[in-house]
Amino acid sequence: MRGYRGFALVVTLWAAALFFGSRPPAAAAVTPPPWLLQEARRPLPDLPPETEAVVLLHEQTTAVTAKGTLATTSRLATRVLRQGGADLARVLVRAGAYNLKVRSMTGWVVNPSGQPKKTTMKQALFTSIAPDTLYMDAKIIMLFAPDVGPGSVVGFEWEEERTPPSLEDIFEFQGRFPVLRARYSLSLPPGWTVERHVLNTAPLGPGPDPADAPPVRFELENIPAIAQEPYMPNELALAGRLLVRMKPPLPDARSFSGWSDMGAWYEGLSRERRSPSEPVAAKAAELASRVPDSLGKIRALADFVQKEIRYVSIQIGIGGFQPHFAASVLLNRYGDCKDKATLLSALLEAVGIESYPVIVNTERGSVAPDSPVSLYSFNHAVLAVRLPEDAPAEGLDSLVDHPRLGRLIVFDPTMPTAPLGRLPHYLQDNTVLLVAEGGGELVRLPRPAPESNLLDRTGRFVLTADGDLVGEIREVRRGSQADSLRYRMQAVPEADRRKYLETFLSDSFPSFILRDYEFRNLESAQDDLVLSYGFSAPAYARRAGGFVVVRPRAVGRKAVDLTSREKKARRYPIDLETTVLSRDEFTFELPEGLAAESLPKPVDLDAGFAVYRSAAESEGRSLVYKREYRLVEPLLPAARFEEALKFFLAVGAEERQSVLLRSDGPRRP
Amino acid sequence: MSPTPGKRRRIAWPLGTGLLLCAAASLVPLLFAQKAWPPITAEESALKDCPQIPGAGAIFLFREEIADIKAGETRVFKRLKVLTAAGRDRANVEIMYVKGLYKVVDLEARVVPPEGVPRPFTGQVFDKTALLGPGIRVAVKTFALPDVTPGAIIEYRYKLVVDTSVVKGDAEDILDALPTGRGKPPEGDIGKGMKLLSLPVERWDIEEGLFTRKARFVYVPGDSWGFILSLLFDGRPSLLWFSKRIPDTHPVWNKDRLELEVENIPPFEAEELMPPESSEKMCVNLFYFDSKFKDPKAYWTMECKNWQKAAEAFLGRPHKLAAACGEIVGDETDPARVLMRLYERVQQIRNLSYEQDLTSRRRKEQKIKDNRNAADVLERGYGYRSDITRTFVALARAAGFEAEVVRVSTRDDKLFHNAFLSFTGQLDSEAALVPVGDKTLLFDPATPFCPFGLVHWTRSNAAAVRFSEKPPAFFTTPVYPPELGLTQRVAALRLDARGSLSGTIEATYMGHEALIRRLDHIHDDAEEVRRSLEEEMMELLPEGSEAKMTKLENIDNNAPALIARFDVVLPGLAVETGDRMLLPASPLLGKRQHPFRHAERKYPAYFPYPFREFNDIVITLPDGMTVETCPPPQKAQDEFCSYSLLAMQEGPLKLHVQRDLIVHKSFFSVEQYPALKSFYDAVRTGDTEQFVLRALAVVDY
Repeated sequence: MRGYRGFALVVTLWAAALFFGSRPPAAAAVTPPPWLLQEARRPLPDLPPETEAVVLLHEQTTAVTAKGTLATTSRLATRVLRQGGADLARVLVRAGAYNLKVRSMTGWVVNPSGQPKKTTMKQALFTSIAPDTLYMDAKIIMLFAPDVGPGSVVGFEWEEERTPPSLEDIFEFQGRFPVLRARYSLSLPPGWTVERHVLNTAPLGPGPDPADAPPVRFELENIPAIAQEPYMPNELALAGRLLVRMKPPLPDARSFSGWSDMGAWYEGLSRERRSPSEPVAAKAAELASRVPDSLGKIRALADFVQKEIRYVSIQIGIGGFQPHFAASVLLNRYGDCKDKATLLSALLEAVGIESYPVIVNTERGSVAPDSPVSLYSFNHAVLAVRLPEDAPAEGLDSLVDHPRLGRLIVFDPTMPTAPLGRLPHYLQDNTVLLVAEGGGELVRLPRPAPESNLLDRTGRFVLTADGDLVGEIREVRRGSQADSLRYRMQAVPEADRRKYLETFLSDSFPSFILRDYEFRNLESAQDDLVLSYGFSAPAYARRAGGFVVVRPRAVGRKAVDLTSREKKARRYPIDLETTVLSRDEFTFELPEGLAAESLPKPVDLDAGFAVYRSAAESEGRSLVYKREYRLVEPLLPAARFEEALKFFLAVGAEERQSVLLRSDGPRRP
Repeated sequence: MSPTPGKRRRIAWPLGTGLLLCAAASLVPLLFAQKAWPPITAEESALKDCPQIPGAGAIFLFREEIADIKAGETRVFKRLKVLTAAGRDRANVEIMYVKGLYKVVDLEARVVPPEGVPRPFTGQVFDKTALLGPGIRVAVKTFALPDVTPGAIIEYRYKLVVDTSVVKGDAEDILDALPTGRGKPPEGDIGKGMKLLSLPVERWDIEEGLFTRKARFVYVPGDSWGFILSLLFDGRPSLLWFSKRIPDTHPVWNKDRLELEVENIPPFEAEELMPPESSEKMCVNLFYFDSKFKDPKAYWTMECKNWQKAAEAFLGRPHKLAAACGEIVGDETDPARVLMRLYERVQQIRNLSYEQDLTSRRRKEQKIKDNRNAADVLERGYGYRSDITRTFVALARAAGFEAEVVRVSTRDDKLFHNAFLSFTGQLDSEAALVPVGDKTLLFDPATPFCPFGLVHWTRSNAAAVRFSEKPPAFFTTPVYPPELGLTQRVAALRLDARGSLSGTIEATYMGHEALIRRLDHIHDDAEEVRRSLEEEMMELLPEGSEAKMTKLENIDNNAPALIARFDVVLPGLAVETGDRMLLPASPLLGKRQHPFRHAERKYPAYFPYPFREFNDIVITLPDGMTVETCPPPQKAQDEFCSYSLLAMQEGPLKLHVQRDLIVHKSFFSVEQYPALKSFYDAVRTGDTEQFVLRALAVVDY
């Protein structure tokens, strides 16, 4: 028994040891590499006091083999100036995939006092968790440097080897911190040529002379950090980077001369997957048989893929680029964006309708009409459907008139609330790659008229003698004004829909009771979304001496806050997402004895990119407030910032305006 | 439970898995025989909605977790029904597990379509890496059930069994490098003499992300585990349970197992300003404790006795600190001032609990040792929270006070329950109790910048235990009045003809309001403090406003008041209406959302502490502008809250507004919510009052 008890005790202690961990090894002396020590001694220029860290050196050296394998060695040295910079500066994040191996990662920290520290890939953390992805075989690798704080110089060095599907290399030299020196060099086998593009920043110097033999060298100094400004485009659309395209002496499908080549590559990857198998054809026939006209057939098939195929992303190997077979997507009833586009294409083909893959970046501005070709410019896939000759085009905002392919409806089967004919907001006015006729080309998607993104509010209220407001509002929403609300409300139970409305009303009324509400057409994306709600707002009208003060703008704000804490000149465009037409008409039935004494002046603001008009008028016993806000240019250059700021400040002021009603009645306590 | 400093850090794995580990040393898991799926009832098939949560995307029809320590496995079964298209996402299943502790085996799944034959899942189960590092591997078994439509029933089952594989590497290597964040500062070692009297072994989380019609939890103790525990406890271990918020039922013993069946469990959904989530979530904690204790009182008595012994050993004899005490006190004789000098001295001790990057390796490099007693702390000049509190008590005793250390349950992440027998898990902090004159006061010297006579809000109005009484007595620490949670803003503003206000706002924070800001910024440099406080002020101002901090006092000391002054501009705040101008009487409302917007609430409302907000605003009008009307006084009052708004004209061009909001208590039950909401509605209504001014000239926008 004693032996058994001892054994059990040992087991217990063993278990406890796992909890408490083992002793760390004795730390060996660390000598950082000379390049890092040199950077640590570099004096700093004058920097704004809020600068959290500064990149002393970011260097990338790429060597290309004759087989098109890219071996890259990179170095990054960052001096931490403030605690906020430590969290970002202390970590290096890379990703390993089927065609990309991270050979080594090493980090050092040089502190003003104390011994330098070192960390290697043995101490790295790995994860395969990614948003909206059920599974991917790629691994994100994070290497954390220890003991990083203000005054630290953190250095990382890493080596990668990849065989990319596109012979290109990208050097991202601009990020959250200013960069003192960014250096890139490339060495190529004999006979290879290269073209260089510097994106999102003024190019410094000419590109390499084609007559010159490689290597390519590129160096920039004093690169500012990407600032954070309200309503700025995504950083992908702003960050400076170098794109280098390589071309071997012999033809190589991986060497894209232009977007057409990339289109051809994607076509090669996906064409077979779009072929309609027998089950796919049978399904297409079943769905199409219910509808006689061609547009109806397209709509039926599009609806099916959008609604019946749930979104699941599984990316294995080249699966990040290549879709699954249409038949398996149909069988599983799930797939990611390119899977859904592939299935839809196959269904359409089965009933004789042509379609073409469209590759997009949902961060508008990431690809411009003059962007050089790059495989890594995109993150989403949709479909362009050729509209048959007999099909009417009215009301199809997503229609693109292509000189050779004819009328194309661009459709996103992933966005459940954007039906055929309508573009979700991230596709509106976006530049996309249309894959067709064995190649590809950049196409600009339409920007819909504001009427297509409509919010119409009509409110009828009774103002009681006590100053309470009782009434009902009816909203008609269309386009992007409907999509996001629909998407949100479809996913939540009834109680959360009520909470949404309560939160909305609390923005306008200090006190209210939501009596009832109804969402109509929540599931029918092709119809307007209609929302009605009845409520009462006690003490909405306030007495001020002999007046009763009423704000005629019952609900809804259009003013956008463009101000930022830092009073610096705006650097980036202003992105207000989509065109909008918003109209409000609120009618207040006034109690006996009350009439308008002072009405706010009508407001008529026209800033070119947007118009805002409002007026409050007395009509018999009623007070009627109308306003219209029309946004025609949602993307503005930085140069128009002051104009936009002034416009929205004026809108905000108008939204705070009140009407003074004269009352002869007894004062409320 | 925060990690114990001075010991190596560990990953806090669920302890139930540790039991599996040990049990497996002597037990072989039972072979799992394929068995039929439980029958689906006609009612389950017919279900089209969740009556309790209309519009829900999916619901659990049945969940079962059987922790069979005897067999060395945990068996899990889940059956859910998809009700809407949004609920289909539930067909993507993820099961997390920790390699080296347990693994997932015998995973099976199937889909039962609304009409049709059940389809077993034959697809691929992926093993996804959630986190892989030295000594760590957290993985996720994941798969997507195909062809799931509304009306389908999804079910899956699996077992968790002990995994004896070894994950290479030393977790310490990575723990040292990870950002330590700003979690709860570690309290510090309790000291020698604590014995294992209770051991949590399992936790049943009753609520999940969906409504649950029925769930069953089972715990089957292992014989050998009890035997192992008897080595650790002095007596025979007993298995006890402690349940929270489970309506109308409790676990019962069924022969050799403890079982719980529950029905109609709603999903947990957090609300703003609610008590700690852990106190509101339904759960059952199972733990072993030494059965020589007949009731919880006996358990607490013994734990307290052991703790007191350890604490007293640390405090040492008063005479040993007499010299140090004398040096600090000098010739001061007033008791309160003597105590204050000791307090100030102790607050100067380097507080290791608040050093953000003090990893175990840094401790070694700096040769930081564990303090054995108060004398060590004074000599070395550093300590963790408990070291510092005890040193204060030791010095106070040396000065002749009958001071004692008390153990407190901090209430930011939990509320104390007497029946949950976990000493360090529940009573996780220390404070000092000192009689001064005819009062007994509580002190919190281990919280940096904490003023003399105040404790951090997490230790106020909290359960605590003192050991000077026999048996040890539980008490509630003081609730501080709203004046010790004061935010005062004094504004001197000037209105221009265009309706813009500009001037200064001086914000004064007292008591808790000062302390939380000081602690929030304890690691920040001046630039970050400025940015943060300016952003806080901007939240109070309308869109388009500017705020620039021009003065800051007492951000890094324990003075009663923290003061920040700002230059502000509020453009276009006053708007014209005809030939008049309307000026909000309460301009400091800004963009923040007021609480309690919803008509209904599930959980109590919970403010951290009673507080007061007082705004004193003077507005100078431009020459020639007249005041047509001032808003009438506003007032709202109920038993625990009060609000007033006074707007006056003081002189031809001077307006004066005083707004005062006081909340006298921090906890409001669900039954009290309607009154609380009604009060806040009245506050918001009062805040919308406006001055009517006679404008000088028409303003064009």
